[in-house]
Amino acid sequence: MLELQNVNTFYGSIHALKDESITVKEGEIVTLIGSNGAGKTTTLSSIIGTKRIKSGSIKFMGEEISGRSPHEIVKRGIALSPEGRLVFPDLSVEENLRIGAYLRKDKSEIRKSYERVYGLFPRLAERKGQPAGTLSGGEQQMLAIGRAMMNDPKLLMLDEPSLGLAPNLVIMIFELIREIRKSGVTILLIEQNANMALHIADRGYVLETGYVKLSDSAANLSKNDAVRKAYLGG
Amino acid sequence: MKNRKEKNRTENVSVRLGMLFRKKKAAVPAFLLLIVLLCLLPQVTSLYIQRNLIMVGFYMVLGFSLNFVTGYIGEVSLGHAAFYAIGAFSVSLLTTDAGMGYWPAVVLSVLLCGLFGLLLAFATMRVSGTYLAILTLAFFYLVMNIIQNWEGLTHGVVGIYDIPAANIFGFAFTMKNGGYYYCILAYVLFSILITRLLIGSRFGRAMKAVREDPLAATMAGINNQTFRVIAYVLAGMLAGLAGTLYAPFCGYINYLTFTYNMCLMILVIIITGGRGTMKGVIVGSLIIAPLGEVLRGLISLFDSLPAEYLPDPEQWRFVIYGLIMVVMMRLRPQGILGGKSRLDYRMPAGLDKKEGNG
Ligand SMILES: Nc1ncnc2c1ncn2[C@@H]1O[C@H](COP(=O)(O)OP(=O)(O)OP(=O)(O)O)[C@@H](O)[C@H]1O
Ligand SMILES: [Mg+2]
Repeated sequence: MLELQNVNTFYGSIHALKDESITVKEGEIVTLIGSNGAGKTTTLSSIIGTKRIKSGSIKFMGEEISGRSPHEIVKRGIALSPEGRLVFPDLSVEENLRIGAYLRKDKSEIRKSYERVYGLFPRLAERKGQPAGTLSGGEQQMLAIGRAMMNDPKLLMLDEPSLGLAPNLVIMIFELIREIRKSGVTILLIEQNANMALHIADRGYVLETGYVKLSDSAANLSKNDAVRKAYLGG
Repeated sequence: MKNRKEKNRTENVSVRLGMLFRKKKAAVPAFLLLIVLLCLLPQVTSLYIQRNLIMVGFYMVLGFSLNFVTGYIGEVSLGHAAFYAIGAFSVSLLTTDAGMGYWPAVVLSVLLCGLFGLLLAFATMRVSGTYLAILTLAFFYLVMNIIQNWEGLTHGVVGIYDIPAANIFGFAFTMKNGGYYYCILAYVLFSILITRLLIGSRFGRAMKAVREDPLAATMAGINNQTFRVIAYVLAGMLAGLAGTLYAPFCGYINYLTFTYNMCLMILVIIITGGRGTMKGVIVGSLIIAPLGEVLRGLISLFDSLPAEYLPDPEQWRFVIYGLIMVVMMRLRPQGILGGKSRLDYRMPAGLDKKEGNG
């Protein structure tokens, strides 16, 4: 479904992605793990088009998407819930979701998406009219994910959804990610919390300073000694 | 049990409807009454007051215009009077040198201002923040320099004399017959109307999203640049429209009619009132636009003193604007009426679950 081949991305002279190759197949949960500055967020920005790649190719559903502008890429069915739960603080929960459905015109389809999101996150339904800025951190994260779902994406990319959340909420978010996959959405998940990520993922990639260091099934990665040492704390 | 639930639900719905209705019931007649009062106003006020009301009206329209850019896209423009000037010069030249009728000239001028809005939007596409503010300022000086120096077209420093009065079906506007007053009142209502239509639409939501978080807006598939351009074009056209009335209202304009101070005043209006709110524009222009006159009035109370001890109100006005800006930035950066949403959320009365079901 998504295929990155030898992608190179630069910030000025900083070589942030070095010949990165990644594939995500339909229906999978794939996770990218790596420490701070490894290039995880840069990978997602390169895919969604907010960061231009220098060389390599990015194919989605068989079509080259690198070099296109973000709104075109979003239109093709990729959604990104960005790092740091970027919600629109002054807009209500419902307005936030409404903007997520910006590209869609069919009213009844949009209604269905609302129901789906409110079904996944009943807490959001209770807080429909509340300004998003007054939600708790966990609720804002739910809203960011919910908003990304409103476009009915084929591929949902999540950048550190568990960042700064209490342990019980982390578990809840990961459960929800599983739910979302069950409803037919492919997921590319970025996490520092490698333990949890490998627990729900099918496959994983380990990034280190812009290189893909390892790629394997999630089960094998969580058994791998080097990975255990570096990311799983033992 | 089931019946009770049903009953509760219908009660809830009727409460909801009631609230909606009550709100409308009060708002619509109040608004109509206000308009009637505003229409009667020139019959009872002096020409001096009427003149000031007209100036407030001009600044209100300019405020609504800048609000598209600063309020909804979140970009600061320091050169907004440029559009006002282009509209004014264009309509003056078309009705004098080109001998065109007033309304066709207005339409052409407004379109021209839209075109300049488009130009400015494209010229500033890749910049933001301070650089953008400086570029918009440069745009203002560029326009004013062209007006000052292109003698063949704009009459250069001499300016344009004998601009024919604005008229409708041959009925010429004057201060006495209230023509300018009613016309600017209509423009203010028009500004409110298009702002309302815009913010309620898909466009408006997208613009707000771009203002609050351009990156997150992009992620929702919004093409940020499109909305920037739309906002600039609309802003250019609306400020231009104000200009097309201002020129005949003055009767004479030259390159000094439109100043940097004007640009600043429009911005102060928005910041004082609260950017991105319609009430903010209205309150802001009611406070800021008459400030010069109020100050003049205050100073004239002391005119028994020798003239050299008296401050020049024109100069001191801007000290006060500066003070207002500083105080606003410290105390209420969101403006007098802006940003209510920072307050805690409360359920509307009557919908509170604990009280509602009983
Ligand atoms: N806008 C930028 N300008 C310059 N360098 C950048 C920029 N964004 C990222 N980088 C650099 O690129 C590298 C990869 O950054 P990236 O944000 O992709 O890391 P990350 O894996 O997402 O890290 P984290 O886990 O901390 O979010 C880092 O060395 C970072 O300093
Ligand atoms: Mg990151």
